[in-house]
Amino acid sequence: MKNYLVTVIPVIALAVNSISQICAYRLVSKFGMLKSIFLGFGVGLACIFLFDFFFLFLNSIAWHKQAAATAVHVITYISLSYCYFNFINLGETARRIRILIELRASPEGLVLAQLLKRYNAQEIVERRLSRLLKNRQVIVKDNAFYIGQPVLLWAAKVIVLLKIILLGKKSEFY
Amino acid sequence: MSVLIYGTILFLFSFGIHFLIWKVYLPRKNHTKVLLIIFFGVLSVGIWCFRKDPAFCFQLVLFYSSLALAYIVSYSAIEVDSPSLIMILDIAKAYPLGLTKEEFYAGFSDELLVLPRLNDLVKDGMVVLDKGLYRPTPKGVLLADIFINFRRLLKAPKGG
Repeated sequence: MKNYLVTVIPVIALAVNSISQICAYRLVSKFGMLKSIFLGFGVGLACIFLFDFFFLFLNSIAWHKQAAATAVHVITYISLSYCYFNFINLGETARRIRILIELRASPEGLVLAQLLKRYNAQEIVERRLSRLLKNRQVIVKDNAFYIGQPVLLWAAKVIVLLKIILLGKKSEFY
Repeated sequence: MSVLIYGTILFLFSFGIHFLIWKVYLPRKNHTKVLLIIFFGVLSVGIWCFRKDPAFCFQLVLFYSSLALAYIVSYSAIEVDSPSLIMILDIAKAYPLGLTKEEFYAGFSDELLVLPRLNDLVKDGMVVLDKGLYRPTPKGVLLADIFINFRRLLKAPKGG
């Protein structure tokens, strides 16, 4: 029984992560979504080390077995937290989810023109541009856009490389 | 130690099979379904080898599944062109002159940003087009409700 309990430590930590993130976002007005996600992740990770200390270290298990078990817990937790981060991100930015939500709100259905009145390219572009400017990934100089901090640019280049490796093309459009 | 080693080897083996299949015959649709079949199919074979040790199998399933799900979730970012990343790449390409606001906005339209995603929803059975009207299917309603309720829990505004 103890073996099974030790195994689900990353899942418990994920639950703690999620609860912390939701509370931070709802209750602390200065916490944006990203800060609340980092906070939740940190709290969950602290729980991993705390649980491991109580379950593993206090049971006098050999140090290399403790290290391996903690490595498994941390890797599992990071992977699960990454999935949770993507779930939150889908709600924040995914076009398909927004389209579904708009259609869900109109049980009689929507023709294309009605859907585009509710959600369209202009809104998509403005939201993203606003985020890029706020995070200084893009800057404006003399009425033109330039790259600011290149973090997202590097991420974009890695994704294009992965597209070429896995899909054999740079873009879904060609 | 063996969960870490065996789980990692199994994951890398699954990724290798996925990569080979993609190179030989890239599936035309339902990439996510195919990935789930590959990764969890390999896991099923893997845990069958250790079926006499249920505790080990349980640890292996959790460790491997977390890695597999993290990869599958990342794959959809590779499959679809993100508007933010398109914007960043367009701006980078315009260096050193920069991209004017007119040039920037000219690159984006409903045909590029909205219609492909709407067509994906129809293709995946989340939305149905009936006499010119788009309606969510029960599958689409379920997915929409999950996100509507989670956003409500967060007290967050509409995304997109």
